[in-house]
Amino acid sequence: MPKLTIDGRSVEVPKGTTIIQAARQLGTDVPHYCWHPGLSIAGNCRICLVEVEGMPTLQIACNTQCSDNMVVRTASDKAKRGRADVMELLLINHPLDCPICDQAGECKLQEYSFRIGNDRSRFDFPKVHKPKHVKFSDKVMFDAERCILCTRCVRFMDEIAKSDELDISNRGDRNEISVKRGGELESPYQMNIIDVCPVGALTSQDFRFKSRVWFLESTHTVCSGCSRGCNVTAGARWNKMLRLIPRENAAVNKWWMCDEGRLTYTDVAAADRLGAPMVRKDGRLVEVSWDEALAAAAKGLAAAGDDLFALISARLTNEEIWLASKLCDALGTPHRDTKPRAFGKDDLLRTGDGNPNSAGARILGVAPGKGGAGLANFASQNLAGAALFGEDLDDRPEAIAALQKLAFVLVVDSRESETMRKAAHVVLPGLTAYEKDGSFTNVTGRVQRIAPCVRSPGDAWPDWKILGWLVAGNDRGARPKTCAEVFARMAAAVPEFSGMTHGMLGTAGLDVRSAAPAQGSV
Amino acid sequence: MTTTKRVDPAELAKLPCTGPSFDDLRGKLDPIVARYPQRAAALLPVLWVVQRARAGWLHPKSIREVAEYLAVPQAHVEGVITFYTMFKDQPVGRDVVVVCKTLSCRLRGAQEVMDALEDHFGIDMGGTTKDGRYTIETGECLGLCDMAPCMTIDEERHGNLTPESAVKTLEGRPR
Amino acid sequence: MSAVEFPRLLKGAPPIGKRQTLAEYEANGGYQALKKGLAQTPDEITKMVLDTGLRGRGGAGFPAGRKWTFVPKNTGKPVYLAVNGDESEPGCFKDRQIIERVPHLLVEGAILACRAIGANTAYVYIRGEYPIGIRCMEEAVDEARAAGYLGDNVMGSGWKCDVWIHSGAGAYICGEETGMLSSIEGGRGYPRIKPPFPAVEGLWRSPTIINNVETIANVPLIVRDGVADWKSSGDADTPGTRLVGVSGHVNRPCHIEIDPAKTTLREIIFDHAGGIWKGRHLKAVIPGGSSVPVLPNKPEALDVPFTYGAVKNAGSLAGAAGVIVMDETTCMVDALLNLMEFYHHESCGQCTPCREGTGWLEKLVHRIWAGQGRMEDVDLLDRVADTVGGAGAGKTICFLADSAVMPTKSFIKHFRADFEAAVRGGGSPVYLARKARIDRKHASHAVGAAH
Repeated sequence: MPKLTIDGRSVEVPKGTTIIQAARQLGTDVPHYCWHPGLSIAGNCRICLVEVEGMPTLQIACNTQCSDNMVVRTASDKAKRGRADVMELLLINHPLDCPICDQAGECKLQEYSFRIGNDRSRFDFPKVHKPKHVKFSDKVMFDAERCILCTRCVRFMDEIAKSDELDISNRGDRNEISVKRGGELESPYQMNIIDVCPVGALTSQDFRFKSRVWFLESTHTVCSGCSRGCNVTAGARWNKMLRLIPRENAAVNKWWMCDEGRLTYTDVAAADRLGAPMVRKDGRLVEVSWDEALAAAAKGLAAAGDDLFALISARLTNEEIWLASKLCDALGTPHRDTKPRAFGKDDLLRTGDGNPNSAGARILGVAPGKGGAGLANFASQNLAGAALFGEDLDDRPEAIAALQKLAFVLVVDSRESETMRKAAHVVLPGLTAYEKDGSFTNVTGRVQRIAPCVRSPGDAWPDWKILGWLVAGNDRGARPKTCAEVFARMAAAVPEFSGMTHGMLGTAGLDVRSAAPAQGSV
Repeated sequence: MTTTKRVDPAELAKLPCTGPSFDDLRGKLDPIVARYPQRAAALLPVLWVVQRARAGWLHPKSIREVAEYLAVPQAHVEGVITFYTMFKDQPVGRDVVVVCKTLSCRLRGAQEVMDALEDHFGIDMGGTTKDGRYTIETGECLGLCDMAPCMTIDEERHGNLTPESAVKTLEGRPR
Repeated sequence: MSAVEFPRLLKGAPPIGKRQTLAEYEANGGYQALKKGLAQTPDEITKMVLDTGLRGRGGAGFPAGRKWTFVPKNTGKPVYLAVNGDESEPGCFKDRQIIERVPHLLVEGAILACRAIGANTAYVYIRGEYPIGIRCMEEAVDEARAAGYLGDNVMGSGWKCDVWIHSGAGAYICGEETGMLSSIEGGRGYPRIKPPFPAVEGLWRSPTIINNVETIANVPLIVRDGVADWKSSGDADTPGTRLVGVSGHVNRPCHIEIDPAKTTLREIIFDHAGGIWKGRHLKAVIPGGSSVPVLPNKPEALDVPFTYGAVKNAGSLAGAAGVIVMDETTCMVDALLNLMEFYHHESCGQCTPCREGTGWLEKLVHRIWAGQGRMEDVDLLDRVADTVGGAGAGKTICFLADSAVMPTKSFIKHFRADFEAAVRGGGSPVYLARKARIDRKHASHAVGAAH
């Protein structure tokens, strides 16, 4: 374990640690563009120059390994001068079009120019011009003039996405990042290059020009695309979700997420969102008050009793699934199931399971009980009613037909569906995963918090509240006031979650307590 | 004076890809590939063989075929071609003439040689003569400083040039 | 005028344009060193090279034998030798003499070096601009293989060794040792960050030793003649002979093989190359290829032996021994512009300071050259050079940026008057003489663009 001094403070690091990593350990950020903790070392941007005692030249902190008794100065005059030189050179051919650049506000050129740059440039020649508006794909735009050739994008594609679709063409100051001629990016992870790009060279076709990033309200939450549960930061403005970007979690997704997951937020603004409870009257669904709808639901459920088929979505949170299970327990029905959902699958992040909480549903026992029916056979069981929590059956017309024969059908969902229109007697509007509190248990057994990024539309309720009220029935005191309260009750009852609280889950999550359904890992 | 325009990259594929089929080149390429522990390493020598065999430039089809043959991404092949000045991704004249422009040659009259060639053939350096015979370009130091100013046409070397001798050399070569 | 003599490396070499065949080489004592070397242990060969003090002839002058000792033992990986024949430093053409005329000397040296470092494969990288050299080497390797000097059973010893020729394709940066490795692996000639050093992780992440052509060509002579004999030329600082190329404003541009301890820069220019052409006077000389500082016509710069140490003390570097001579009529602004165009054109573009800085330097020199410069531009040029790099600046992965900076600073230091004259006089005399033509060309292009 080499022990060294950085800016007068000593630090001990494992062998092989580089200066830039050791400095981070001390809370010192050595400026860097090409270095990324998740990628190989390129050493080309040269902005991380530091002074190392005994070495005649400045060294790059990203590729210099710490050794015993090393004395490093990140802020000496020589180091600062070297970095200011590199900063000036980075900007001489840069268009400085910050007012119209999407990266403004989260651009490392802006940040380091502000921190270590000069207040003027000595360069007074025409700049080198390169292609702007280059379409890399329907998802990614490229501006070669803004690019500082750090090659993070190239390395991401090679090393992480395992798809060598990017390379550099030409030479010297005519260098350009390029896809093959006549081709476009195809990788399902390509949008990560937008995140790793430290400048405004790679921008998102989906997000660009929608908002300056400093106006975004950011929320730490979890992607609901698949059972990986990639940690994300959601950006919203005017109560509208505008983007998801991956948030580092070494135990789950490292720094990355897939494109499919990244675009799941668009469900929130779907045109067919439900905003009010409804009850079928004279064959038509009509909007009613929550009180009336909840009463109708409770009545219908009670009437169905142990002849109720409950389809409990594995897209619901642990808290919600637990409440739904309790409701089933109270009714005494063994007819419970989830609905499988397909998603992309590969060795990196995508699990193939489009339900973000399959593991939670498994832990909480959502499956046909003894003598119980499931999704495949409920239609033939002569049941009295059905409750669909967070699901529809639009992809199974024969199942809708079966529902239509039942005396009572409750649908709790966030969007309209054919199922609801044709078969529901009571409709209770719930929320998407980006509008409510809760937790998911991911494919490796990681329990992670989700959080509301925008307010719900109309008079929709979080599903945990709907379920909590149904479970509580007439006992008003038993109605949960917060999701955290539901979680606490669940944690007391379910060993896998024992001792956990929402607060303890924090922003990085915790592994389930007992043998987790461990399958697949990052 | 005319400037030879680069062909729009989107149009290049429409030009004929002349020369032997890739299968006919394999006999020459396979032993080259065998010299290296990894196929990808043979990229430069393979590009040389294909370029020489196919009219002196690398047609989009050639690029695709080389990428496939060596199992390397097409973007990588294009990155390599555009890095090295001697690989051509645009059609060239029947012979590529390289006039050295670097210091030892400049000191002994390289500029005047280039001026004379431009004037005589009515092209800028980098252009192709109207009859398609020569692409005449400048090169950085050719390592023939003892015969400066100089130019090369593949293995042919012409040194101690004067403006007149340079023109005469190119005009006097057998057609 | 002294007769051109080649005491050692080119001794008995055929004239330019002819390649020494295997039979001719053997008749000259060729491959006897290999026979001797095969009877020795690898460490014994390395020790001989170490004991001679042979320094790398590519420019940096690092002791070759010491480099060989850096190969880690027992890594389980193959070891490679990469011979650098990318000779593309402006003013240098010495390695071409070996490659084209005595290729077997290089082949034999490569085999011996492989033996010493524990390699079974050598790649000889030759710049694409040397098609004759590439052919000569290919032919020599084929002859050596047919004669059993190469292959699975070298001279019946049971030891396997092969040498392959790898052609470059027009990129100066591939002469940088790790840029060359990238190129051999089939990539863009990007120099690599160190660590890891190539001796530990080079070609395909295996230990790789990289030596210049002339360095390797000395190895058979060392093994054949012994350490003492080989050291009879040169001195402790620069043992052995040196191949030197002389070009520019001399009566007889030539390549020579000299005893560096007994030959001064003045003798190289005035005796070997026949003095300054057209009866003119010497103005400046670049002694080691375009990347080293220029020297003015002063006794303390010229009357020094051509050893690494002496030329360094005189204010420059012997480098790769490409002596570029400039006469009194030379505009140093024009000469520097030419070099800045070169470095800008050849920068690989990886590191920020080089990618952006070489172009800036060229633009600044061009402005002064074309009569648009201001007096403060001369100092600005000097300061921007410091921003970009300089000897030992460490701002870039390789030395290309520093190689642009060293001439820039030395040109201004010794010939500031030329730069100031260009500012005052409306441009470099070279520009003024060509102004009408340049203006005409711009005008015709502007018209062309309008259509």
